[in-house]
Amino acid sequence: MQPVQDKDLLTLLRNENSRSQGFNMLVVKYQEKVYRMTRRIVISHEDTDDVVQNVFIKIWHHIEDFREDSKLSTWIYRIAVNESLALLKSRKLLNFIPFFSVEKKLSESLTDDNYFRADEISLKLQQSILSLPTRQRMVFNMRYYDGLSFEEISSILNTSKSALKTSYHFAVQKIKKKLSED
Amino acid sequence: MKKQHYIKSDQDRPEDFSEDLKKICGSDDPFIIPEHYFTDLPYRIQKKISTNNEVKNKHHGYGKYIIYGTVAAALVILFVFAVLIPARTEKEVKANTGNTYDNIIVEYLSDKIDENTLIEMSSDNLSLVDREKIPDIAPADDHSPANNTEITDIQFDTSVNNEDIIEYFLSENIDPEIL
Repeated sequence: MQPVQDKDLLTLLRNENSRSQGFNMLVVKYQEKVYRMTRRIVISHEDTDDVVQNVFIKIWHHIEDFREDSKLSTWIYRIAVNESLALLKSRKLLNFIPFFSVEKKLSESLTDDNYFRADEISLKLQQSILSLPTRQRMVFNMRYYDGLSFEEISSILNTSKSALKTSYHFAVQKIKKKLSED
Repeated sequence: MKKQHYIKSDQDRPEDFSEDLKKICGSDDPFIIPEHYFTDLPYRIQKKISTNNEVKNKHHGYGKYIIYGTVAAALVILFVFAVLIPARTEKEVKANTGNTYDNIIVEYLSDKIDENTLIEMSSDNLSLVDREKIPDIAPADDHSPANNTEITDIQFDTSVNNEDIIEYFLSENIDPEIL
């Protein structure tokens, strides 16, 4: 079955009669990508579930604001990143966790997570990723796991391509160093 | 001296620095998605949207009631201040005035007052009873001659003659021409 095109989705979403149908198709098309992107930022499945639902609810309410300046996928991923960061921020505020300790807490929670299965080297990789600053971590994940181009990451994070490449380079160097230390 | 950069330009940068990392660690996602999670996700999202809309509409409904209630209360207050209170005050004034006139007429008919006093009292709108209620402005014992003195005429000091005036002008060095 051919995946539905974004253009067709937008046509369905902008028509009052086909809005619900178009929205369901959009959720089916993007749910897994949004879930995985979000999960790598907020780590726990429960938090990811909340964020994913909020992302699609936001899309439902604000689809009229989407002016097609970027790809639909980019717009959706940007909402996902913003919602994930908002959740981390609220966790930090609620639990009075200093900003640099959020990732540490997430790293500790990895081993207790029922929905995380990794061999030793993968666990070390995840812990190394979580030791990176949030922005660097997002760039690394989007490039390494999601295989997004620097151009797309640049649109999502609203950062220049060269800055992203530098960020990615340093992220890889830090991870390699961390893995070799362990 | 120009600073030497580790990475000189975009062209010098490899697109991906992580190939060797991928060889060691792999790039499979270690995060597991619960079984059937995506099966009912669209349904759950739609449900949440309709619940949110219902709550929003409910709040919107309450909001409407609050606005209507506030407007009704404001109208009641306006009605009380603009219609009821002025009407009552007017009624009271009329009632009071009517009583006074009645009293004056009764006093006149019972020969307590003469015709002139009747006219005077009617213009003042005060009966004898009302007049008795008004306290005296001046204290009762304040009838000393000093207080009763009336200025009937301007009195001049006639002991001063022209010579005295001239002498005064001279002593003060005043030119009488400029006066």
